[in-house]
Amino acid sequence: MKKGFVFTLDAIIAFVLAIIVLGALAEIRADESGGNNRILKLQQTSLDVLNTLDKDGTLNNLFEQTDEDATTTLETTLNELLQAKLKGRIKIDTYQYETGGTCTTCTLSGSTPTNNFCHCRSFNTPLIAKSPAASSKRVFYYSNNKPTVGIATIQVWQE
Amino acid sequence: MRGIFITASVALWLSLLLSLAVLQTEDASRQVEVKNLLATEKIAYTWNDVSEELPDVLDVKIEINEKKASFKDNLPATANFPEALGAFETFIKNHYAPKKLQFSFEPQPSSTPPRIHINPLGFYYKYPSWDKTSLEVNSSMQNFAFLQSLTVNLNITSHDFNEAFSGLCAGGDWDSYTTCTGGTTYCLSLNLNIEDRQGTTYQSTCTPLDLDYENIIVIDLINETSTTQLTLRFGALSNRLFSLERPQTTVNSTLELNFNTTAFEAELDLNLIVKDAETNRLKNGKTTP
Repeated sequence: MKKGFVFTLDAIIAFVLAIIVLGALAEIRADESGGNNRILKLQQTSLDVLNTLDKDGTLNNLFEQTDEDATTTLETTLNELLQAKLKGRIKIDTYQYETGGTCTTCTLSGSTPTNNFCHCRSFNTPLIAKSPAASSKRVFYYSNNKPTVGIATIQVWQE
Repeated sequence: MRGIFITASVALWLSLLLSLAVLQTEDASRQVEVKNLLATEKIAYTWNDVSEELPDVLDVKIEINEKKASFKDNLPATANFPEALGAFETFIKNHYAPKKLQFSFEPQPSSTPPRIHINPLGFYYKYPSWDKTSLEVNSSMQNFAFLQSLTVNLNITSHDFNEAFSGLCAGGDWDSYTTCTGGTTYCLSLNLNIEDRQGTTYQSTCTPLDLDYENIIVIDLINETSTTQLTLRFGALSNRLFSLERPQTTVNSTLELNFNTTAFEAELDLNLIVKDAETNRLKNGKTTP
């Protein structure tokens, strides 16, 4: 009887352990899936914000503003577009086409063009992104007199 | 009895191992699925983003609103468009696109500018040459039936009118004008407004036009240094709805084509191909501004 009791106990323990391990695995998987969904939602929000900024002309208007004014514009617009619990940071970089081999006015990344483009401006809104954050980019074309192009990079995260 | 319990215990552990193996396999296949999904989304988003910027490169604004397609343009070209398009392509490849994405235009824009196609109605807004000294709107004549009216607004920024307008059509302001009759196949309702540098306006009351005939209005222009003419033609030549020739003048033009349907879209006659090198997924299509 004693031996039988030990074996029964062994089987019960094995069963309980199996249930615990399976439960833990299921929980981890649920967490991972929830985390992925959150990031995907943030990603979609970040794309929507950039799309809106491009379509309503905000991005192109930045070329006419000083870095300081442009940053304020972006900060205000970002706060209007994002839901209350979301925060964001936008970085703008602008480049000008240069075939002469030397950057004269746009020398942010040195005086040698990279693939025929000189880096003109770079500024960003002040908040620092918290992990996990979703990130997206959008290109916007300003002028074809001397081709000038910008890249907006956004990070969105939950407070 | 002992054997039964040992068997049960081993079976439990084996089933646990089996479950783990199944979960692991599921995870691996889900990861591939997510990777493909993300690649597809990235391709689609990047394709749309680049595609939407192309009209800016060509310095033309295209708007579709219900039954109306409007084109805001600046003539002549103020830039070297093939160079601008090439520069934009270079920028996309080297500064913007994720490293794994490959970009190309097809055909490579070279001798002739890409047309803007109103699809599926078969109308084309196009420039005969990259310098934009003239523009045309063409379509097979049977497609003219889709068009309810055409509005042409021209703002001449370099010259003034060098003629007085009589308000008369045939034999008056128009060099050639034929109105619609019972036998007209395609009849165009036209709103034509032209403003010169000083803000003087000419609004044509000559409408409708019989498109079976060539209707021409030539406007004499003058400024401090030159005299020139602006020529507008409607109909007659095979497939021509409208053309504008403007040697030596600067014109901001707005064309509004009002159709009898909302089922159309504008697309640039230029294929943009975006391909993910890792997953071999791609999007290849005419760019839709």
